[in-house]
Amino acid sequence: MQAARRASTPLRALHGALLQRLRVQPTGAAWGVLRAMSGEAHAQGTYLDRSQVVDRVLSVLKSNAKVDPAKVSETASFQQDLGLDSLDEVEVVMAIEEEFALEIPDAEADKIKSTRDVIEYVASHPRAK
Amino acid sequence: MSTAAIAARRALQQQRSRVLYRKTLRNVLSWAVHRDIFYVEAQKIREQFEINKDVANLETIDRLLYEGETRVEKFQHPDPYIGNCASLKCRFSRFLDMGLPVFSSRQFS
Repeated sequence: MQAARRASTPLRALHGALLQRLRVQPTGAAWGVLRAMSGEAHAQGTYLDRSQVVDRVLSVLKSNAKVDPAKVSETASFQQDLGLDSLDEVEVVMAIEEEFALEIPDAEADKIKSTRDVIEYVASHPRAK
Repeated sequence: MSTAAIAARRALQQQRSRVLYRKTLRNVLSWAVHRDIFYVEAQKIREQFEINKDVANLETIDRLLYEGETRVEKFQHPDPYIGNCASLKCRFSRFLDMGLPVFSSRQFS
């Protein structure tokens, strides 16, 4: 019994060395599902591309019925340029939350006053989808 | 009252109305789970807010805000949706999928 154990340790050392050198990424649908369920990517935080964020934010603003699509731009202020009410601003923030699957707390939502604020917030949020 | 105090009070009331509107919309989102129903209800809520849009008297505004806040407390959902699950396929396991804390029975065994 002990002889067998002593013989297995060099094999085990080889096994360990092999594992340290080989890092095989799990591929295939099954492994992908398991990794998604483990929440690994979720914990690291996946930031979105800024250009993608800009496109999506502008499309959300343009699809709002109270907004004139011609005036929507990256630096448009909600109250001055787009002529939105304070309640309209709340609705815009809710639409952004819906688009990017976020939950924006009240303190942050009160600070969002222009398109640039929205883009900055979403681009720097680790959980934006 | 000085104009600065009046302006400060107005600003506070505007912030309270914004917070109240957000709170009612979030509450409606917990009650009206499907988005198309939510949009209809949100439009109704907006119309109720619009009725009192042009009130100028500060005391009336305070009273209206107080009434709104008590109403939203009364209609608060007992088991609200925490976090935005618009992108999830299934809301049943949303706490797991969104990384929120989950209490499993294994902890208490």
